[in-house]
Amino acid sequence: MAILLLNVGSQDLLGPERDARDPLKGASSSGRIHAQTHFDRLDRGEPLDDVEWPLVSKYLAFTRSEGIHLDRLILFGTDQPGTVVEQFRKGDTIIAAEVLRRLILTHGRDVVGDATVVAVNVDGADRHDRCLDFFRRELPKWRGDDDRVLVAVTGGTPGVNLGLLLAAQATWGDRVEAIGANPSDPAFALDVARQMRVAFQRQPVADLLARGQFATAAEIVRSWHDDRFEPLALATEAIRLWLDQAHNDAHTKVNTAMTHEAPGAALDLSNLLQDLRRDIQALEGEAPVSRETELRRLKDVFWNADLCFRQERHVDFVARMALILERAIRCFIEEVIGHPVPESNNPRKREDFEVALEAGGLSRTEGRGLDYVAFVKIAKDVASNTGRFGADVTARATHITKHADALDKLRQLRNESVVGHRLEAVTPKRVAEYVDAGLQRVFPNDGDPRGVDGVQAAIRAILGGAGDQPTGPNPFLTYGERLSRALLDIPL
Amino acid sequence: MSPPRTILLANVGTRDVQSADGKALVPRDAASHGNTTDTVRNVTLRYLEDYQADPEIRELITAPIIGKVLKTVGAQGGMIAHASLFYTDQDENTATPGHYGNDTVHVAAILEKWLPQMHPDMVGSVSTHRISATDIALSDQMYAYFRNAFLRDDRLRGMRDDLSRPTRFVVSCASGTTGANVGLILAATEFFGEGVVIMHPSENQPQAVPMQIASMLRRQALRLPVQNLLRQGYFAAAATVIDSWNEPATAPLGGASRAIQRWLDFDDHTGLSILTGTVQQAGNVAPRVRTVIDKIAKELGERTSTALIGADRPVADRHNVRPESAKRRFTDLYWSADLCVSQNRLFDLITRVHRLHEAILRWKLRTLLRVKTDDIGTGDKLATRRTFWEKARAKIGTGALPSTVLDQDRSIDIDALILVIDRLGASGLDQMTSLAKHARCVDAVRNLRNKNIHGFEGVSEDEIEKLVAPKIKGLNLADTIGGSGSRALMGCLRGMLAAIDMAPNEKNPFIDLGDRLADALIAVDALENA
Repeated sequence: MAILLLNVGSQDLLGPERDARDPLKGASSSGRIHAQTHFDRLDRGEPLDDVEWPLVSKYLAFTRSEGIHLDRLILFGTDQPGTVVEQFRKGDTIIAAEVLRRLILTHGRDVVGDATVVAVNVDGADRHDRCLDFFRRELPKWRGDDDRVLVAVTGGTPGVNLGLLLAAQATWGDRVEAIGANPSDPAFALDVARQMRVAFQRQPVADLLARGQFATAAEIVRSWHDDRFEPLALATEAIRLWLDQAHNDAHTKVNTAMTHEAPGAALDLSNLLQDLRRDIQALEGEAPVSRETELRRLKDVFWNADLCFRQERHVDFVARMALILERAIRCFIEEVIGHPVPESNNPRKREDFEVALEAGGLSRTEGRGLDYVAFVKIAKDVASNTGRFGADVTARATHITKHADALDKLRQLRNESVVGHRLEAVTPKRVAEYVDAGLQRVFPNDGDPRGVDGVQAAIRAILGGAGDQPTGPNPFLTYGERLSRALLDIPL
Repeated sequence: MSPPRTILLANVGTRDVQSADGKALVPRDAASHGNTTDTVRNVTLRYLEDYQADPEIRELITAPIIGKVLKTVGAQGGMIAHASLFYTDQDENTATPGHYGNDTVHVAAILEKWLPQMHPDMVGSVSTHRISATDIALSDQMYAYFRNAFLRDDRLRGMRDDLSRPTRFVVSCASGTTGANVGLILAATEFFGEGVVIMHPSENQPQAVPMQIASMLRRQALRLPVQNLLRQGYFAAAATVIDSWNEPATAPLGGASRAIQRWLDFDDHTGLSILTGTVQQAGNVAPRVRTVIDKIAKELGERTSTALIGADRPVADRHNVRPESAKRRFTDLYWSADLCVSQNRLFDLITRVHRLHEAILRWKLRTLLRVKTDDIGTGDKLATRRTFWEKARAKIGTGALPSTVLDQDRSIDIDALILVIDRLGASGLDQMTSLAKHARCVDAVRNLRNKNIHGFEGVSEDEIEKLVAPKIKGLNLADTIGGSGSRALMGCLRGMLAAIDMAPNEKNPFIDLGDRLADALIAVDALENA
């Protein structure tokens, strides 16, 4: 299915009077008076052999050469209301559009199924805003299952052409193709429809990036099919993979982005890619990783969770915060006893761990699972053993366990949610219901953080106790803002 | 804060400089009519040379089009701090025949000199810029030219980014070619954003008329990306953009979009309340929008009324899937996982897949054996286990169970559930064999899920493929399950649902709703007229 939309302009019907100075140029017959003459001639059954319609003929030739059959052709002719001064109304093309429709259905049946005239009854066809307003209301009525939507932007005023093209894109999306014609050449495809999409999507995409909506932004950038944006699209996808903890894949994306020739003005993007690679690399590594890497990962998940909350992904926020709760205490224990907590149930590794606990003056776990409950118990053992671990370590242990106890019910909320074993809804209100009583114990004053803010404050405190408290702005949002600026700065 | 400064951006046209009596210096289209002597280029050059020789010539000149812009700006109490004028000066050998003579290079030079001299209180400075595009009639080339010109102009960029002093960028769009004006309007609207004011110095008006086209362009242009977001199921992001329009006609669509996002998070109560609030606030909702909203409200209403886990129910009972809501819940979970696949949110995918996997297994055995299967949490878990194993053995036969599960106190974990279902299949219940096979494939990602809930394993397509593909092959399901990685995983999940007679439809209902919302968004404009 294909449709052609075109504005009928002053040069669309050329009458028999030739211009002596320019024999190639005919007199415009598109205005009301001349067009009416031709309309009447058609009504009388006279052929219009002496009237040319060069632009529309070129468009039809274009569709023939492209092998497109136009199921529908819509001719928009201006028909301004009586409030417009006569001088301008005389130039209205509504009658010319009807003449053209008849000519097309007589001579262009091989490529046109049906042709319709639509009156553009705006008060001022030179007013871009009124024209756009007209088309944005009109075009949805013509929306069908058209695979190709051709929009001719040569005839008509700048106002009607811009309005038609933009409203067509809002109606048919990226199926819109602009075509143009001039006096000396056959009709040709114009890139302006795609450019317009890029032009107007660029700012919203920049906003999406600044808000950390990387997956969405990458999808839209890719839809532009423009190589100049490829490194940026790859960088954006890398951050999305990073947020999914797929560090190796993210790293590969960044490397691929770096192999692209950076666009001229996008020096910031080159720097960004280098920073991105450095930051992702810092999180990589097979378990057991170093304490520094583990702390970096914990902070990373903190900011990841922060982003989830900002994007209303509350379940994912809780899941990530619960993960930090468990891993931060685990990380602290590893630091204190100088031995990794085994990731698997390998009996030998488990026994090595139990031995390390004993060597540190701590109780064995008595075969229970190495889970959050076990970690808290060990940390509390540390907190109560000042003689062995010293004031600093025991104070940190106390600080961590106190805040962990405050968030104990956060894990319950996670377990009851879709990421756990039930389908309980997670909302900010429900987070507050679960954690506020616990938070009251560590943040007792009026005005102290509660609910989601309280969870973030307590987790910050726990990470501080474990060795590295998150501070400053969310790095994902910082990357988003940098990508946003780079996107706007890519030249065409 | 200082008052806004005004910058003028304008294409220079052939009629921008006229004689003092208001007549054009050169008849319209003189050049294209073959007059190569009295072209705009030649005539305006002569004027320029005369003007340079004798400043009094300025009295013989007017600039009616820009003059109307000055009148409008002046009437608003402002002045043009700087005017950037864009002119044409094509290569004589490559320009379209007749167009070379219409070049406005000298018109711009006259204006550069004339405007500050004649309007010192209204015009601060003027700069002129040659349009370097191959064909000035083509809007795509002109858009690229203007965008790059703005990008390279540090002064303009500086003013745009100077938050301490707002700047209005006035675009005059009555002079120059259609292509040049389309290009200028697009590039200025994109580059200077909210600061752009498009003015139309109409021939029949004494002043230039400010048009709403810039804000309309920005808003209208966002329709397309928002439609894409909706069609791809990015409901929260779409709602954020729609809400930013602050339009009564589209506001209900933003609310509907946000409600679906809550639904996807199984927060039906909030979803329904958002929807109700949105409709009440909007008052008059367009019929097509209303249809979609009613559909979403109906779906959410059914879920809240037959809630699996309504907030008013005791926690101990929350795991029990009621028969009437099981299919609805399972398909919701399935399609929300499907959305994770299409949006590449693989971590979220495997948590949802795992949840559905477990839910199906427990539900099937609970309804088949009429026994509780959840032995975690509150209640007498040993009693639950003993009853479960007793009923399972009675159905299967003791001999069919391996000795490892003869322990009546054995936990009813996922391994146990799959094993029992498998044995039920072997004892003649065909669908159970299929359920067990597909369940084993899905179970391949359980460990990956656990590693991400409790650690930093990370999830990638390669990893999912590595885990799921051998299972599919080993269980001879390769002929029925297409795709790879996450798609294959979803195929296995679909197989599980089919084995309990709950096969999902072919189209994701959330995507279907996204399509309906996107279509309604397009229709809103037309419906306003209906």
